[in-house]
Amino acid sequence: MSVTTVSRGTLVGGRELATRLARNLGCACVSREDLTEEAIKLGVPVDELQQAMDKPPRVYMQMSKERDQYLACMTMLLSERILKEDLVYYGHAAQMLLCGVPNILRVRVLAHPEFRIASVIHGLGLSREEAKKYVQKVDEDREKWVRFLYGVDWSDPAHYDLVVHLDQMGLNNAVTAVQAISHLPDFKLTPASTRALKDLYLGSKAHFALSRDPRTSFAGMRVSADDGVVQVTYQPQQSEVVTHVREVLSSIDGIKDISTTIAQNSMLFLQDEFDHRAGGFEDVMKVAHQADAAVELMRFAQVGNLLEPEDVLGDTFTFDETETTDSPPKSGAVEETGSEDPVEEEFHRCLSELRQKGCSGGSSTFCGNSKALLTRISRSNYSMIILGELFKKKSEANRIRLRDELKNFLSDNTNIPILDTTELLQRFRFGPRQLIRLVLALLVSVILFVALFTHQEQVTAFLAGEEYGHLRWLAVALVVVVSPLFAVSFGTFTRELLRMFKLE
Amino acid sequence: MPGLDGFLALEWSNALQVVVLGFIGGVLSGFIGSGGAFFMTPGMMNLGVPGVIAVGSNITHKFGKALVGSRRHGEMGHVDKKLGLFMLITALIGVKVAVWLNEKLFQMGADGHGESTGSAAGDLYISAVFVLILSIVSVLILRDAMRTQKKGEGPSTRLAEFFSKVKIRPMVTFKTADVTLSFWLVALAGLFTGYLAGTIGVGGFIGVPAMIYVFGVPTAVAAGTELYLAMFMGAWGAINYAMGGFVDLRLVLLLYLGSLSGIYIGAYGTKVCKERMIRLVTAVIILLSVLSRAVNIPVYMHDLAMIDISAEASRLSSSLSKILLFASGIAGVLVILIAVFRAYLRRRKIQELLSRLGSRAP
Repeated sequence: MSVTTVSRGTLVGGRELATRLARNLGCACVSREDLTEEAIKLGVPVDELQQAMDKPPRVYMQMSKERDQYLACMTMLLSERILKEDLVYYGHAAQMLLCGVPNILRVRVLAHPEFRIASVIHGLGLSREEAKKYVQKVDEDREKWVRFLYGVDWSDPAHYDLVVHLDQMGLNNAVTAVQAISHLPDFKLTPASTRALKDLYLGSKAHFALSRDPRTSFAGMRVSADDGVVQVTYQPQQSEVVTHVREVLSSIDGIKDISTTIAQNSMLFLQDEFDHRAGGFEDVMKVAHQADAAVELMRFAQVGNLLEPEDVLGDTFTFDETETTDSPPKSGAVEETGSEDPVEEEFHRCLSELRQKGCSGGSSTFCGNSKALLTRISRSNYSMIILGELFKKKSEANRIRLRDELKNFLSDNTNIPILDTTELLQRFRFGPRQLIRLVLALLVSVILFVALFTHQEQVTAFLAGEEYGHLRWLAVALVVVVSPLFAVSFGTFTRELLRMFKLE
Repeated sequence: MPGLDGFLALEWSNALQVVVLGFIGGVLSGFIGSGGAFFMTPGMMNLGVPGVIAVGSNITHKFGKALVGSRRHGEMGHVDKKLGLFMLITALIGVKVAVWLNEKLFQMGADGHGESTGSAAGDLYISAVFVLILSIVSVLILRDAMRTQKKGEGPSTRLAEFFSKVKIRPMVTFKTADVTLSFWLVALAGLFTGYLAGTIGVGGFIGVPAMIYVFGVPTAVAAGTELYLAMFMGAWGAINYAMGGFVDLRLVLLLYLGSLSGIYIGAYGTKVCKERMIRLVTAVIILLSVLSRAVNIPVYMHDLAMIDISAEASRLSSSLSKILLFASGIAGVLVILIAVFRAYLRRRKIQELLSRLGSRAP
């Protein structure tokens, strides 16, 4: 089984490339427009969403529920098609819908602006200047649309396995090149990628059902699926949906279990493998309980730009079809594991513990590079991301470097606090350091307070009395120093006190 | 100690009242997301603090609180520093104008720091601006809350849509807020924000709605950026009021004692209350605070010999003003506390239900 996604702008030849590729590969060709048509039939307000993009961000940012419904529906329709047959899918940011699914060939098609302008002049009968403005406007709209849906810059080549520039290469040759690359074993669906697709399908189907049903549609829920278990997380304000979630999902085939969690916040715990006795798992659970958060466990199978040079050098293939198709799948795909696998068992044990404590936010396995991870993160409103033990197979020095690089990359590109498990303890636990801070803050507050209130007459005279008029700048300095100093010290004392009683 | 140069003579009872004012202001501040000055400024005036000193002390209190708050918002990426700095250019002018006007009006009543009757002109001016601006704000919030109830949508976006079409050059792009705006629009909003922060200490009531409704900035970024702006405006206001001798540092510290504890309760309240309820509570509290200030206006007018009312009526107005303000604050805090408690009970019930459902999962 193989899937190719083609991301194209307006009049770049992407549609033609996708159609010919599908014909040569003997598989189906599905466009964004095909899926959108189906989505509209299912009641998704696609037109409303697209029209809102012409308005200020404040307007369209209010449509997050409609956006989530659109994404759930499109993901459901696309993954359903892929599970039935091989296909080539083309759209604006086609690969983003399948974010986290390994072994999918992601192609981006570009063309020279002059070629595009000429096509507009020819196709729409516009003047050169009008055609230039038209192309610019369409590009801006598409860029805004993709950013609204996925929170990423679609022109970043890191999102693609292959960027084809039709200025340098003819369409036929481009199709041949993409076709040859699609035969590589890296782009054949493995049992692990099929499982990821099934989870994606089930999660999006459940999400779409909940977003359509009037009993649950008003609630902003997070829905995901892992190995047939659907996880639904919602906020305490929407607690009335609790009885309806199971009723709505009961009609969906393939659901093995439903787990529901009420939580104010959501945390993503990212790690290679999970162990309930190690890797800070217990600490994360404690913090989640304290912060009223649901924890999503994500197994991170990283590929791409953070690989070691020796890994990349090892990946050499010829375009001999017989050889490549027999080769084992690469790309860091997660292998299908049986239920007796201790790693898998341990993972399920962690999940079950989270469910028992009422703070499960679901689970997932992510395969991709750091930029793909960013796309996945941007689609969810996490309150915090915790980096656990990552890159375990690397040497210690590389492990530290890679984790720091990932942390810095995520910190630079999201507004979500990123912590590792050791920082988590420092931030949330009340230990000796916090006790010292509490005592010092209290001490400073008390000293300032006592000093001021035992010398009220002198202080007020100094601040406002005529006799000290010539020292007014010193009085100003006293005000601008004492006020924030007391605010910071008393504020720190209050915060540490609340932390001590686990109330922060 | 006796009152000095118009400063309040602090005793245990009124010191405690200032702490309570700070606490209620803090709870409301955490709940509503504003600085709480709309409650604390008139509250101090009701205790006999001249308006200019109440505003000066409150803006100094706001400076410290914004310093702590904006750091936290900054960590979460909710601050558009560029937008804050552009607004700041004119906001500082607004603060300066406001402080100058307040000082002049205060000095009109008496030489230097006069008796409480000497502050009547300033008090009347501050109260009039307070009533005018906050009446409009509360009615708008109330209308928006009712509209939300009908349609189930967020705040109105019509103004943002309209102003997004204003393209008076130079246009400036603000990345964090994700908007492109005319510099003049930003400058005007900064000027008004600064003027109101300097006059009544509630610049956020103009700054935040302006950013949300007029500029189309996301709510979290608007609140974070306003706090960032408030930090500089607060510092500038504190310096200017302190130069005139209008900052009572004792009141500032007492306000901190209450507000920094109350703010956590208010912030928790927002997590368990629906947005519609938050807006309704906000609107009602502000309306009652406005009413409290409005009933005091005849007293100031009487002090300025603009109208004639009996001493009995004057006392009654002052008492009514105090009762209305404290009643609104206490009622608001009670509503929030009850909501927090009910949410806790509801959560427990749901957890029990979930565990029952979990035991008979499909």
